[in-house]
Amino acid sequence: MAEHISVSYNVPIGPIHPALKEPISLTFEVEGERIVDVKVKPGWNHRGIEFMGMERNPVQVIHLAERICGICSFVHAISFVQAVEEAAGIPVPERALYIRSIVGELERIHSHLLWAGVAAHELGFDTLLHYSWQLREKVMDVLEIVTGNRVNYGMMVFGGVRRDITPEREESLFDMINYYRRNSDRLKELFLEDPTIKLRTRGYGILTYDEALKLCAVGPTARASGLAIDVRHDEPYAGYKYLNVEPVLPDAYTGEITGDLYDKFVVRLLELDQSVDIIEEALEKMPEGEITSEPKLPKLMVMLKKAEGDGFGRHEAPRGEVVHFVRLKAGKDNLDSWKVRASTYGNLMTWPPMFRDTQIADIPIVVASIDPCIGCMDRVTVVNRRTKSENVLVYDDLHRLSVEKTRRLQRK
Amino acid sequence: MDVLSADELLERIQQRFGDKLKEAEVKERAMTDAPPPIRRVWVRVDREDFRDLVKFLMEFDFPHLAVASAEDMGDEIELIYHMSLFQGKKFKEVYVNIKVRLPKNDPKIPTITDLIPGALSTELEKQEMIGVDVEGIPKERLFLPWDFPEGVYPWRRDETGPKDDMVKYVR
Repeated sequence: MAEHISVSYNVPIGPIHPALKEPISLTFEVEGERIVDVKVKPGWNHRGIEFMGMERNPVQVIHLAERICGICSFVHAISFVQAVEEAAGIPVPERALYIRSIVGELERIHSHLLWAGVAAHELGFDTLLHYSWQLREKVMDVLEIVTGNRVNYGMMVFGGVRRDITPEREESLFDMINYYRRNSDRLKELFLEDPTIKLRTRGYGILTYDEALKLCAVGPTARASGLAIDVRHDEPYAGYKYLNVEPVLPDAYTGEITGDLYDKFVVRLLELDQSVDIIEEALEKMPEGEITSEPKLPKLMVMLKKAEGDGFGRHEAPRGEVVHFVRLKAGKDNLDSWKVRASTYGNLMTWPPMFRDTQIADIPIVVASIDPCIGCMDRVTVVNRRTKSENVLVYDDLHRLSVEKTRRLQRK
Repeated sequence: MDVLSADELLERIQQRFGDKLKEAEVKERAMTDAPPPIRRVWVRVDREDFRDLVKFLMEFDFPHLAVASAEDMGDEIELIYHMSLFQGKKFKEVYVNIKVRLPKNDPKIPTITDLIPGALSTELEKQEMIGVDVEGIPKERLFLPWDFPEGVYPWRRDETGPKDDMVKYVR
């Protein structure tokens, strides 16, 4: 019998790849089918947004911030506006605080349902993908009714929000709440009680409590590992001060915390119910009143030009904590300094431990499990337009491998 | 482990570090008058005391580092490490923002990745974006493309900053 010789190979995935919704480059070191190590190289989506922001005044930057990400566009707008409001000392009326929270929760519902569809697709359950995205259409319609747009809502202004929630819009929100209450049990049953999904997710992509803490993970990725952190609960902003928000941990459904892929499914699906409850509570408690403290834009511009100081805004985005740091200088129209920390940036370091002892066919679902938003993370620098093309081997059958593994498990 | 308020925490830091703190204040968010107002600690230390301060904070709780922001201030580069303590405690989380100023002719700062492993990506980013030399981490690129010219730092506002011919369609 020949002596066992272990030889490891490097398998590069990306930057452009069918299993990845956005460009990122992952180089896997594999021994046979087993993944030994992974190197992550982001930066393929740089648009230089912070640089562009420092060439613009704060009112213009709200719209730029909103375009950092297409899925969670509200989170950057609210974090940026909160940071500038702190630096310039702009008050916000109570009704506007509630409306901010309501739009934030609507966005969480649509983002989590979008993620659920993507995760189902990566596992090879395209029927479930279409079912999740059919459910998602309801919240997209409501977002359009409330804000006027399906994405890039344009709701944020300094000192409040742009559009009020009128009685007709409130009716559509209550209608949506009933719709999701009716369908939530079915959705949870399809995702969490399916034996094949359990086989594919239980015990894979484990992130332990210690790793989540030390690698500074955020959002559902951290909560699935038992880290009870949630900005809405720890340091409440906007309307969350008046609302009942507790961090969702997977043991509420399964009775234990393992930090694997299944727990990440549980957290996101339970958060859908939580968001619906928060919207209902906010609509009931929301007082009448103004929606902005300073509707006159020229006056606001003068205030912002005079303002001097640092501001720090945070928001619990669907993917985790988003942080914006802003520095204003008196007499300067434009921002002096702007730093954006998106949630995927915080979760970037959690990939290598999660890939431990998984197989090549598990790559798509492990990548999808932190709900990566590369567009949010890569936005920091000047793009070099003289980039030469790179020769990277692309394995376009990765998704096929994942589907095949699911089918194989189903046959057993 | 006791959960401290922002003011108590700043008092403990002041007791321990005294004159070594160049700036120390608790800033209240004037954003809204709804109670309780958010209060955060802002301190500035020399780079020699920076690691000691992080270690001191770790005696209270494991700090969750959000990000380090950086600004080119002319002769100096200012880094601000935004980290929070007591995460997961309702209404009790305290943000500590630590400013460190580095002279531009010697922009060295020790790494904190041995204390907080999650700091690696933000430290790598500071290296490539503003030319800070973080001692103790690999000198490799994270976000910048491999063929981006050496010695150009996108966040600098001097001759090492981005050249005019590299900046297009921005203004």
